[in-house]
Amino acid sequence: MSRQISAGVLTFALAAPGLVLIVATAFMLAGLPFGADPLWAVEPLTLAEAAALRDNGEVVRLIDTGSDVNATSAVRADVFSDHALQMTPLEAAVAGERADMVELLFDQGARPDATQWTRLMCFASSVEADDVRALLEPRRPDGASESCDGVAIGW
Amino acid sequence: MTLASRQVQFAACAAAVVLALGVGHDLLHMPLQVSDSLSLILDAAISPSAWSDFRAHLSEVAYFRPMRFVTIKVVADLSDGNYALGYRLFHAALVLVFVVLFVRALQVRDRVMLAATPLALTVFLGIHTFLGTVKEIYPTNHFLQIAVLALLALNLTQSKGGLLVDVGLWLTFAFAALTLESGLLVWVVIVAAWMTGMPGASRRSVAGATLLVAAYALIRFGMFNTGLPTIEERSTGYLLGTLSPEQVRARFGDDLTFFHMYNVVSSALSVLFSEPRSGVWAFVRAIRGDQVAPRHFIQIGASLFATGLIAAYVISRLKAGIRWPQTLADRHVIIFAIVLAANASISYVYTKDEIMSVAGAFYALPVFGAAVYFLRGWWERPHSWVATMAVCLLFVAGSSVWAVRAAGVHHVLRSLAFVQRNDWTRLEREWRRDGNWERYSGSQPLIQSLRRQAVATRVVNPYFEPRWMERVFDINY
Repeated sequence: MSRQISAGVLTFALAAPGLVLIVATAFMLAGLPFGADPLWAVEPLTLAEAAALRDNGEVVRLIDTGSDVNATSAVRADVFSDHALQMTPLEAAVAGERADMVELLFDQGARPDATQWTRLMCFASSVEADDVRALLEPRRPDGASESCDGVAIGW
Repeated sequence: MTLASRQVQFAACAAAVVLALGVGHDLLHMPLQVSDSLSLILDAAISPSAWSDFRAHLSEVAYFRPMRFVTIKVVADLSDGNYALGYRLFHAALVLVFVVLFVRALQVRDRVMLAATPLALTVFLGIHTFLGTVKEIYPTNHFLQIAVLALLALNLTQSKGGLLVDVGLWLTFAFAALTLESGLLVWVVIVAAWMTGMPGASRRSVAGATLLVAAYALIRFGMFNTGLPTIEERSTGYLLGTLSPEQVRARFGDDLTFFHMYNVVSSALSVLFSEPRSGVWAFVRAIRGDQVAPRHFIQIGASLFATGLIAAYVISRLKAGIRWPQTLADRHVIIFAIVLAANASISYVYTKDEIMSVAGAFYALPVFGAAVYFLRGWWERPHSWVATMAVCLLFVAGSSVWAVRAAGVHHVLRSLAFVQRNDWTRLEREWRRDGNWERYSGSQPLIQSLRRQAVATRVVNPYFEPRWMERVFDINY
């Protein structure tokens, strides 16, 4: 093998991977003025999806920008089941067994009605999410039952 | 300098700027970190002047970092109330300076050196200690500041020297030493550079810097009696887990010699082999927990390649009868070894990847020198197909895993941006619990404004990241 070719191949082998990263970064930077930002492309979420996906920041941002913390919204397929669901943020947080999110939603004004509270409590009991139960307990609305007989969870 | 060498230098610098801007772009998306930085921003906002901050932090217990608070105050003042943007821009600018200083220290002069530059840059950005300089905005990342100052000192020692350079070195040392304890490493850099014969490191610069070290010790321990950090400061990694200060006491009793030795050795090994991470043998733990992921092999494989290059270079030079540094690469090897030893030594109380960020930054220097040395050897002597292909495979594999590690910086920063933004939503609850809410009751409008800005920052939810990313790229230890 000629010395030139052998050394050239070796030099290329050493340089190429780093060069690929440099070129890719340059392309990424070049796209920024045109609104293309592949590294920080943000998928829009509904409030319920943000609650399901432990996105506390997005939950607060959506509420700050006018979303109703007690309204139902879509949760895309594959988050909880293989089909899309309509849920309140609180239901999504309990379904995700995220006590931190449940607490945040209560702080942000979430108030379950009696039927919803029972459903949430029954689900939390069924998955033994004691931290979630402890948050729901003191916020029991009037008329809410603790009996889970015949209660359909719905997700 | 010829036109060709200028073009080569420009190309190397352009490559560095591109990668630095990529990281800087991430930093501009990062919400400020809450737990370690919010109270500092609030204090800076109400502080009357940088000088009063300097004086107020001269006599802290265990730490001596007055310039850190001056920097925070100066950036706060310069940001004119837009603190989040101000600190993020400062951080991004510092990263740019960091990478440019590194590539400048390489002194890229020809095409072979240019060819090795992408590897050097990916090692520089891909090593886990680099993450410590970018992953959090505290609100100014003092680990990054020290690493930048250490590289600045190295660049100065590589210059032609003179009185101005000496003064520059002294100022660099003084600024670093008063910013963070590991700023003392700037003195180590100056001495190591002088020992290896760097033209800009004169006997006068070493003497002056050494006098400043003595003055530092006198002021810190004699006048202000700050003492040193103890094991009570924080938890630390040990073998396969983390020990709290109480657990360290229970395990080692009053004789902490072995514990300190463990910290020093594990810190040094961490830079050379990517294990242990912050004192914890993450790979062994992953094996035991059946959680081994490709990232473990990528990190250790990359380190074995780069450290192996350095080792092969040293052996080759010694075999050639070189006993004293003759080239810049020889000098970089020795300076790195000395900085590594010193940096590991100051980690004796507890180990953290961030603390090793100076040694981590200097690691890429001898890797570059060794790569250039072996490439030149290949250009000068003919080799067989088999040997060429074998080395090619090794080089492709080695430089590829480093490129993957460097690309992973973006992934880690995205993940942390998500975590840090969420932290802001827990702020009020946690600060009320800790009593900070009342303490900063006069700063409520600023707190709410910073919180709004952090929450308004759009970050990527990890749910939408491809699953392979968390298996391939590094994570935040």
